[in-house]
Amino acid sequence: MEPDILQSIDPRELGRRLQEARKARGHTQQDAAERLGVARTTITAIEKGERRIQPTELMQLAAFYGRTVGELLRRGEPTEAFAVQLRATLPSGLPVDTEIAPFTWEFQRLCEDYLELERLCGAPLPRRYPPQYQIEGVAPEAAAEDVASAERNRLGLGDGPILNLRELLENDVGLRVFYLDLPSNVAAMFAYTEQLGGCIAVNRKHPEDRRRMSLGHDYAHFLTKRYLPEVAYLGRYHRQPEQERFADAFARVFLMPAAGLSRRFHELRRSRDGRVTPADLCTLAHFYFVSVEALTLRLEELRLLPLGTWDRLKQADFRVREAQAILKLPERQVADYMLPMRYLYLAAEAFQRGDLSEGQFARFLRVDRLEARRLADELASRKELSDEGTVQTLLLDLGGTLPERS
Amino acid sequence: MADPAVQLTLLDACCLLNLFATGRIDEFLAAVQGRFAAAERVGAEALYVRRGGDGEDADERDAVDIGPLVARGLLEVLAVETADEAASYVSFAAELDDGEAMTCALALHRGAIVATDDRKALRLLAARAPQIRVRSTAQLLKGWADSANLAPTELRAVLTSVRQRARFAPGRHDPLHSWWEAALRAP
Repeated sequence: MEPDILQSIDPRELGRRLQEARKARGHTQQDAAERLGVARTTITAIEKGERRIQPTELMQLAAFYGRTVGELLRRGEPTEAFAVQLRATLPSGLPVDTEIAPFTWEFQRLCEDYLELERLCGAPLPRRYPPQYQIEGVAPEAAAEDVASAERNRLGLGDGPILNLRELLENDVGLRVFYLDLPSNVAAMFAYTEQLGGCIAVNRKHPEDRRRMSLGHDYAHFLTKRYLPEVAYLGRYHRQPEQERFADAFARVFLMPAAGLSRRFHELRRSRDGRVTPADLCTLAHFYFVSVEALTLRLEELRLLPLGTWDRLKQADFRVREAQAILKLPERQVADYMLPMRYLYLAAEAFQRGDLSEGQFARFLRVDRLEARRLADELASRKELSDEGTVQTLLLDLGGTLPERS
Repeated sequence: MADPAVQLTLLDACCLLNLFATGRIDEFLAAVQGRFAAAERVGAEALYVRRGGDGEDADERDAVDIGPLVARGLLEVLAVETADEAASYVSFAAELDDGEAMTCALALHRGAIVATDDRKALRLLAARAPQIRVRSTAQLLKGWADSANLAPTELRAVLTSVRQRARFAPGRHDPLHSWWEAALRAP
């Protein structure tokens, strides 16, 4: 005998999920009421948890809101709806609201799905969060140097390049980082709730060096203005507010710390008898995994290059990609998965254990079943070298318990 | 009009995908006794198979289109029709994806067989509705192979196609795992 889920579920929790789903779709309560053939006050009562919804009503609303019935029935207090706060930060008077709105909701849903996977696997995301840094009254660029230095020390990074920024923020700090196909003029989104922690969505359509800057920028927000959500638009400000100057400066400093960059630049200049060429800038930018523009501007900022060097290079029609090709600098390996690797592995573990059905697994991964099967195989397989020197495929039990040391 | 006395089998999305990958689903549905149906939510799900084969386009994806099967009367699409079915659907949907949930709910109230390979769905059915009979992809294909007297080479081709195009093979614990593997190795 199957349980009557609608009698046992908390109607206020369900009501909140219904309300969020309705708003995410841009529908009014009146729209929903007409859909069900009921009074608007009935929808109000359902969303407040004062009236239990009927199964056929739930089916109709799920279809109307573009959600699965299963999503709406998810247990547990719904997370704080940061999608609404994100949209509240958008510049007024510009036609951006409708463009970005679906992405804010999808960002929120991805974060909630991540939390659900952690609940299924009993694996909460470890957090190594510092207290918020206080930077009021300090010049943005100076504050960026201080905070970036403190973070590099805290995370044990030294003064070298950070090639795996995304993995660092996910694994060593405990942020949730997604790569989404956002509108081209959107660099990233940031939100924070106590339940979810810090969450960042970066534009997957941007080149990786731009994505890393966006990650650094939003990491700065997390470190100093954690409770203020943000949608970062490219070229949004003619005159940047101090907080934005700080965040941009932090990204540059965190990725290209002064001490290490200066030392390497001086070594380079000594080796070239005092001359530094555009080719050297390309090589150094590749080393730090940043754009040549960012590297050059950073060197100007550190007074290691004359101010205006980048502008002069652009005026001289310096072609970065051609230079990189001529120098045969190897492409950096970039894993631009939409979902964090940890998210993928948690989903695969839950699926392998039978705690997720195939359909649920595919939905968590945002793929169809065929692709879900491919990913399930890929995530559970490892290539191993046998004692005979042949490459074998090892199948892992992702949910298995490892023996403890006796 | 479907004869309600004829045994109804509801194909879950996973089985539907696997059968489509045989390349001979129409033959299968025509040959095997009984009615076959997919729940409305399963019919609406976007399913794909690999093109397969040895060509450069082996990894291309082909959409599973049940339209022709429905038009020929080989497959029905069934929706929730009663309040009891809706209640069961919602109950199952708390644990399964909507298509899987609708399949189980319809099977429960219409005395149908559920065709699924999904471990979670099977566990849930065993716990909540043990009276529902279940069939796996392997059972369906073995039944067809036996009744249609498929030659070993034909059967091997069918199972190979399922593996390549749907990325499916029964797990080690499936009772027909050995049969499947032996059929793949047949000369």
